[in-house]
Amino acid sequence: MQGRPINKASATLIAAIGALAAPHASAQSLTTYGTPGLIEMPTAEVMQDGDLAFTASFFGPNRRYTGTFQVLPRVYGSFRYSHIKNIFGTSGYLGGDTFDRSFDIHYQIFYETARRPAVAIGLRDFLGTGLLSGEYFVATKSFGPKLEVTGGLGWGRFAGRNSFSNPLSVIADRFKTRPTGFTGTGGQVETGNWFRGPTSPFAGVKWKFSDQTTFFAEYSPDLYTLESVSTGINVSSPLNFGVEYRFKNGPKLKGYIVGGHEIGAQLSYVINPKRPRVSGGLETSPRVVGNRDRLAIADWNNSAKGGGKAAVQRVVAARLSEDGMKLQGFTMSGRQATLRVENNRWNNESQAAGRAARVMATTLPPEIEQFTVVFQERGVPISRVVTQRSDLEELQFDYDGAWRTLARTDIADAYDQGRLGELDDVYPVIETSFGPYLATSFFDPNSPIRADFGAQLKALYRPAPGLTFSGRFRYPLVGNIDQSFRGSNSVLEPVRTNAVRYAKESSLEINTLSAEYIFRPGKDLFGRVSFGYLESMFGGISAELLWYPVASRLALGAELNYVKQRDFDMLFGFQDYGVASGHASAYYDFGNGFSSQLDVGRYLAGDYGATLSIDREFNNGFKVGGFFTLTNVSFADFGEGSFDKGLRFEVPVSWLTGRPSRKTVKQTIKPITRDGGARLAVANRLYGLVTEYRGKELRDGWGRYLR
Amino acid sequence: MIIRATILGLLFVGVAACSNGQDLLNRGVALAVNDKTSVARPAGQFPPRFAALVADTSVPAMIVTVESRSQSGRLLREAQVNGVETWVSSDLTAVILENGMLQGTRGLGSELFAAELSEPMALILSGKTGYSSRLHSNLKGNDRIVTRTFNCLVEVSGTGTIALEIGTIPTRIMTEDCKSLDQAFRNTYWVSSKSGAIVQARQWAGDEIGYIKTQSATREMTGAPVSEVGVVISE
Repeated sequence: MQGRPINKASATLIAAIGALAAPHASAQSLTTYGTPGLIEMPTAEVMQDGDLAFTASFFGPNRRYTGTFQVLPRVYGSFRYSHIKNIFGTSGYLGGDTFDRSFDIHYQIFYETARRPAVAIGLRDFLGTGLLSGEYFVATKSFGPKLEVTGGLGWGRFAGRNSFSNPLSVIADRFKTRPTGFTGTGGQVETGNWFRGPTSPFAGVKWKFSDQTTFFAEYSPDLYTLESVSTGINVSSPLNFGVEYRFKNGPKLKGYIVGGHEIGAQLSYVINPKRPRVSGGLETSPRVVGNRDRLAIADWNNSAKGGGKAAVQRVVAARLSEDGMKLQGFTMSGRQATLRVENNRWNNESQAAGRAARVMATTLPPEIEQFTVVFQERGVPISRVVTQRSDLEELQFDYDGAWRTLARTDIADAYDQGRLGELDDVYPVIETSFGPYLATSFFDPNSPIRADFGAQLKALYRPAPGLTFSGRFRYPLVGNIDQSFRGSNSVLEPVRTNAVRYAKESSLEINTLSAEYIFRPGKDLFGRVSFGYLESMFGGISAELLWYPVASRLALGAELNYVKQRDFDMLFGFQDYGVASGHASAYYDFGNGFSSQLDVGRYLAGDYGATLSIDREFNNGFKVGGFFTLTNVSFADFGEGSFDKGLRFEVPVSWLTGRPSRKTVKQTIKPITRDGGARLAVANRLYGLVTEYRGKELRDGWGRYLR
Repeated sequence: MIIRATILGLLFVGVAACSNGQDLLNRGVALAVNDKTSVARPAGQFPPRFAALVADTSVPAMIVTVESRSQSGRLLREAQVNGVETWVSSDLTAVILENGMLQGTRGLGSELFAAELSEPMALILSGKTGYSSRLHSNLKGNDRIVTRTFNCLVEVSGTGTIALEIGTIPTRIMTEDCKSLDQAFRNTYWVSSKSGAIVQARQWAGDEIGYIKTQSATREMTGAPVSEVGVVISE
């Protein structure tokens, strides 16, 4: 996450989503700003809950690339990267072009009814340098299924043509004028500007000609005052016209004339995380739990044919392996049996529990009634799922089987599992892999997307449960991250801003090389100690403790690190800078798809502060979230952006392909990476390692238990 | 070889009959989203679970057609537990039936996860007209199960003799019109006048998949599936 603004494999993500996702039936038209609306003007509409819209628009000197997320049924937020050619004339920095990151937020106050229009309030570019800043109140009413009329009042950028004195100045005189410029180094919430200065009306109509084609006309007050000086943009007419065509597989192509002269086009695509490529998945049908008495005469249960516990174990291991799970321990006595498994296939862990229980129900001798599945991660037992065989037999085809099996299943902590029944041949675990890697760097003004591509060797040796020695070595083959001019200009210790120097001065790199021990100190407790070259820029020691009761929505953790900055060649040496850092963390799952994390402590540059993260996690594992960090570093000392913040998303590969996989495609997007509020990027922080196997996540995924 | 069912409106028997039957078995159903990664397996190279069914000649066969995807496959019965039959194709996609009525699917996309069918089943098998209700549980894209209730009118709509691989069979044709608050469908069942069993049916499996047709078939895999409205032609 931190470090070089790097993460792998996501440059292709949007393309992959576009190619594979199921087409989306109804979605709003999007503006040049990538938000629901007409051509440039917003409407009071929102998208469907959870929708993610991607838009690239081009006209005149403007290029805008926007992602919009319908966070709540009434609220959407946008992140935009815009490029305005030649706005500062030829004399300016970077030949006069500007590259700007901006955020929008929109709240629908009233939804539309038969008599009342939908009404919404919105802020464009409310965070940052404010180049596109504007606020609006807007109302939209549809007349029949084809026609929609919109009218609104706008401030800031919206206040151009026919502007009048701010009606809000009846509340306070300060609303009459709008301050110019932005605070400090940008990136702050500019509440002081909102709804201030003159006001202009805007209006428009949308006419749905057919399922595929929609026409737009709008009155736009935006005069492009700043742009018109040098860019040559001509918006002499207030009227904009556009037409949109929706392709059958989902993408929308829109063409328009802005201001009477500027011809432009945009492409947009909307996906919904609740709709993966294949609902229910393409995986094989699970084994049917048949009459258990027939298993008494199966070869492996028949001592006359060499059957017995060893033979049963072989069959269980082979059948688990067909279902992508590794058997790591097996006990069977009296009426109960226990499997310890490592799940390498199912991103829905409840489904893994169901598949493992079915392997038992179709293999074990008939007297075994109680099945226990213990999930292990890196050899460490996390949780156990206890089911009764007769319940599986009874409910496997029940229309309410998911709920009824859940009600009869016991999910418990597995801290006391010890090493009982561990298979002899599990350790040592040795894994090596060799393949390509892709490292990316975003938002360099000279080249918004930079990337390195090269070869990567990963090796892992685990002699005992929880104890892992691992390394990751990289050799860049092609790339341009090292050609960036962005050096560190930080007044803080340059803990992250030397990323380019790391890229320039390294060739064969030891990305990580570390020893790690993960263990269970007691009930509901997890521990981790990591030592070595923990991440690309820092090495040292890191220790963590997590308290996480199995049925709890709340988890608490603490982490302490002492690390030194690594040499720029990314080999074995260290620089002089060392720092003790650490955090106390609280994790809470709100239960409505939202979860949050609060980390309070000391960061790598020695600054003290807190990070708040909020994620919306869809039940199928698709995640969209954001975070920000405030520390005792002043906004001025922090530099551009004022404080650390970012957006992140994670897409399960199974969502894209319809086939089960524990792989995900994830990316964190930060407008800028500075040295304040930077955390150590140590691998395998405990919460992320274990949460999928705790009760909340298992219960949420139970819809697939019988799948 | 790809099989496409094409509605021609006239009765037509498939051409390459022998390879046709074997091919339906080999290719698996691969019903979901016309998945191109699922190709016909070379004869005999089945996953162990399916190979065991192929080897056991007492296992019955069935032909399944998903109308919306124009795809057919030959399924073998893997299990029969308390009257619920699980039929699988060579790619281990499954169709689950209870006395010939669609109880569930696995691996087709937008799963009909399970159904409660006792009321309409009693009417359909006994050839009676009447109102009944049924429950459908669907596994949605967000990994949650949603259960809907349908109210259905079961009616006798006539008799007809149909030609199947297992022979020419006189049947009583039963229809079932079902509605929920936001969905509606019409299932048709051909109940053998001799055995009283459903030998052919056209049943709704949900918005995304649409109608699935099931036909009793032989193990010999020599004949082509035949139906009174459509045709299966090879290539």
